[in-house]
Amino acid sequence: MEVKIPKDDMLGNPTRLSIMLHLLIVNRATFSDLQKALNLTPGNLDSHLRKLEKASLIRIRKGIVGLKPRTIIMITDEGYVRTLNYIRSIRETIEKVLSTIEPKH
Amino acid sequence: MSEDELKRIYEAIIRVEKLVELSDAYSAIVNYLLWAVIAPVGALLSAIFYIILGPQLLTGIIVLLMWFFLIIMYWIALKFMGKASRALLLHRLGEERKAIIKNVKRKMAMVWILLFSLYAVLSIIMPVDVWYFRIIPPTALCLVVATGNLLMYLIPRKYLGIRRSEIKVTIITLYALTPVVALASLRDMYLGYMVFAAVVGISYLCTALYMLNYMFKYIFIER
Repeated sequence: MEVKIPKDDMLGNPTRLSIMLHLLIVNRATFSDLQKALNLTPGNLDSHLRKLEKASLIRIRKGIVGLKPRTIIMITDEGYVRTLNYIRSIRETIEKVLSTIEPKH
Repeated sequence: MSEDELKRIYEAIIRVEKLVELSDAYSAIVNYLLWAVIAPVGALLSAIFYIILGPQLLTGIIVLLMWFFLIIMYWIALKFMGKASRALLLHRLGEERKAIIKNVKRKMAMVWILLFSLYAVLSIIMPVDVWYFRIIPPTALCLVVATGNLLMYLIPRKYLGIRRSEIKVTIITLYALTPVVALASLRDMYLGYMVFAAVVGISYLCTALYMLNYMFKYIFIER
C-alpha cells in the first residue's frame, strides 16, 4: 500500500522528526539527554540540531543544569506549530487511506 | 506498508497528540499556580507598603517597582521551566503563523498596559472627599484584572481560533467576587486590597484545579 506523506524538507527526515517529537512533549532537553533518548552520536545529533536551528524550529542555548554547563535545546513556537501540523497531516492522510480499506470480516 | 503498520503509526500519532495536550495543560497549571502565588503576595505587599508609608508618591513608586520585580521573576520562572510560550498555543491546531502569534502577543501585552494605565489615571483623578472614596481603588483593580482576563480569552479566540476555556473560570470567579472586594473596601481600603489579593489567588487556584481535573480525567478515566 502506498501512503503519500506530506512534504517537509526539515521534518521529512526521521531523525529530525524524532528530535522535534521529543521536544514537543518535554519542551526543552539537554544535548546529552537528547543523545541518550534518541541513541544518536554527538556529531550526528549536532548536525541535525544546527539544521533545525537554522530553520528556526529550535533554539540552542548554553546553560547550567545541576551545577554543570550544558547545551540546552528548546522548541520554538514555530517549531511547535509546524511539528504538530506535520504529524496532524500524516494522521489525516492515514485516516483517508484506512477509510478506503474495506473492513475485514 | 501493511494495514496493521498504518494503524500502529496512526495510534502512535494520536498518543503523541494527547501527550502534547497534557504537556500544554501542565504548562497552563504551572502558569496559574505561579499567578496564584504572585498576585496575593504582590497585593499584600502593596497593602503593607501603603499602611507603613501612607498614600504618597514614594509609596506608589516602590509599589510599581515591586510589581515590576515580581513580574520579571514570573517570566524568569516560566523561562526556566521552558513554559513561557506554550500557554498561548493551548488547544491550537489551527493555521497559526508566527507573525499572527507575535501580533496577538503584542495585542495582549497592550491590553494589560492600557488597563493598568487606566487604573493609574483613575487612582490619580479619583475624588477623595466622597463617601465611596475607599471602594474605588480595590474594586477597580479587581475589575481591571477580570476584564484583562476576559480579553485574554477573547483575543486568541478572535485571531487564532484558540478557545482557552479554562480562563472562563478565572473571569467568572473574579467578576462574581468583585462585590465582596467592594464591601471589604467600604470598611477599609487596605482591607479591600487584601480581600482582592485573596480573590485573585482563589480565582487562579480554581483555574489550576479545573485544569488538573481535566488532566486527571484523561489519565485515569479516558485513557
